[in-house]
Amino acid sequence: MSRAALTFLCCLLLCPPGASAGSGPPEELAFIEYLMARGELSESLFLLERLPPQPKAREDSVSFLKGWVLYLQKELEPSARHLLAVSSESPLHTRSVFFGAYNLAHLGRPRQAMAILGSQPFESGSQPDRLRGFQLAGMALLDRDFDLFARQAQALEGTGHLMQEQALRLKEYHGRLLSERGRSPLLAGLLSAAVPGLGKVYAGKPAEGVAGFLYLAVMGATTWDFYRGAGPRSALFILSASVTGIFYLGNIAGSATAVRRQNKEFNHEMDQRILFDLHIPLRNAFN
Amino acid sequence: MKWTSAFCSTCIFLCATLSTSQGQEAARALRQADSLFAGGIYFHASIEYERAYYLSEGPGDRILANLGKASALKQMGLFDKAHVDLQRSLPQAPSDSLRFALLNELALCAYLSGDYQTARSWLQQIIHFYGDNPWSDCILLLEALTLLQLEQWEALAGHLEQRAAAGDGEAGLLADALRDTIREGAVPVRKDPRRARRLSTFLPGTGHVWAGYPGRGLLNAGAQLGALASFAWFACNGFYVAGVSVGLALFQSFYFGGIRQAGDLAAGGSEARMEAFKRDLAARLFALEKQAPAHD
Repeated sequence: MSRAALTFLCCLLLCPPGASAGSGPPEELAFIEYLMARGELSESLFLLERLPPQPKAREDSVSFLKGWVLYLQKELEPSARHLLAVSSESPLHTRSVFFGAYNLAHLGRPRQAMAILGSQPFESGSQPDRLRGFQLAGMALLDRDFDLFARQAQALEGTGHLMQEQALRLKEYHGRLLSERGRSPLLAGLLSAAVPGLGKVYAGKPAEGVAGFLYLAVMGATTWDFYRGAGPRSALFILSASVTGIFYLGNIAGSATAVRRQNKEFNHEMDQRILFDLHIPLRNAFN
Repeated sequence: MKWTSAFCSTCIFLCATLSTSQGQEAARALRQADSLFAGGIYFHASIEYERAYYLSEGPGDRILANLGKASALKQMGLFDKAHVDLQRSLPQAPSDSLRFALLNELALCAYLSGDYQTARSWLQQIIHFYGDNPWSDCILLLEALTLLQLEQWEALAGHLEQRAAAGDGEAGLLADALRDTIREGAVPVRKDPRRARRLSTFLPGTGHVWAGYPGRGLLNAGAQLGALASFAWFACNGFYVAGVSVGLALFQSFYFGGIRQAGDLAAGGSEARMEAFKRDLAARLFALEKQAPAHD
């Protein structure tokens, strides 16, 4: 028995040093995590991409690390792909699913994110279940599905301290989205045709509206001056009237564009606020 | 008993071997990093240098790995990252030679990343600790270039005179030339954009002339006069509204535009002249370095 033990130890001794420390996969993962902790994300990803195929359990860790590095690099599409590839047996699964779904929501695919979260078998009343309810409510707002938000709003009641503040803000965003249902570009154009600049005031840009009105008023007065002094066939009048006409039409088109831009800005701002408030509980729950 | 003692001896030997295997891994990573660096694969080399740093047990090995990584980062143009990365090694430098190498590299990386004030501070540390050491000769060029970038002309002339006193005759000639330039007031100065704007506010075009662009000053003043003339012409012909909306509108546009342009030209023009002066002087400093005997 002692001879067998000695033989075994001698065999171990004869093994090359690389096989015992340093370059093996667990050591490599530890080095990659060290690089990630130092903020060397490109380097971590480079090493992760070079890893040979791993056993299933370690493959989940590799997928998670790839997804997490890409998430930190704000490469959300590949990050979601890797995070959602983590199998349900992995202890990292819940975290991966939430962050993968969040990435999809950030990429403008809240329905896909909701479908993924909805299919998870979380125990009713557990923290992941409550977090899912909160995330689904926020994603319903991102999708502007107010009926679904109303159904999910019940889940916001029992969210606990982890997301209480954010749940209140989601309700506030819901109220704002309902009260500011987009302005009409056509109406803005018609208003500017009637009174130059009024369309921009309607679009929520009063300073631009007043400036536009003053410009056109001065140009109109100049045209009238040329008409009065030089007659309707004079070159000065024709030139001035043409320029004023172009500016008048431009003001109408500009008002319609301003409304479209304003709607887009409002929606973008609301989306950013919702995404920010969806993110905070995720970081608090999993960090 | 014989087998028991053999077993114990093997265990002791095995433990010793395993504890050194990390050091062997570090040495292997360092060799691989050197090979990648030599092959021009700098990104991968920087990772292997970091691995060597991570696995190394002694501070000396760590610093060598860190210096290697800084070289790889410099090759990739990541001077700021190299500068930040090197600072972790400074407190653990076990010898003067490694501390000097680190300070020298820190000064170079700070200089290359454009942080001249920090580069100067590292150089002052080298001069303070190793001023009497012949090693410090290799920082002469970097010190001169840093003073040049900081526009410390008197200090640069003093530095060159010190080199001349140490037997570098060419440095003495350059110091004399620099002293003459300073004395004649020929060193470019940064013109104050606010002053250029103020001049153009009171007398259109003069801010441009003061900034060194007389042609543009005349053009701007002419444009303003033309706009006023058009106002007068419209008014004389009875087009009062048009006179105000066209003539005066053009005038205010040229007037305020001229003020803004004078400030921009003062800022940009003096910057361009300063850069040209620095480029010329830097070229002469490099020529001086080439003529000087090689440093160890």
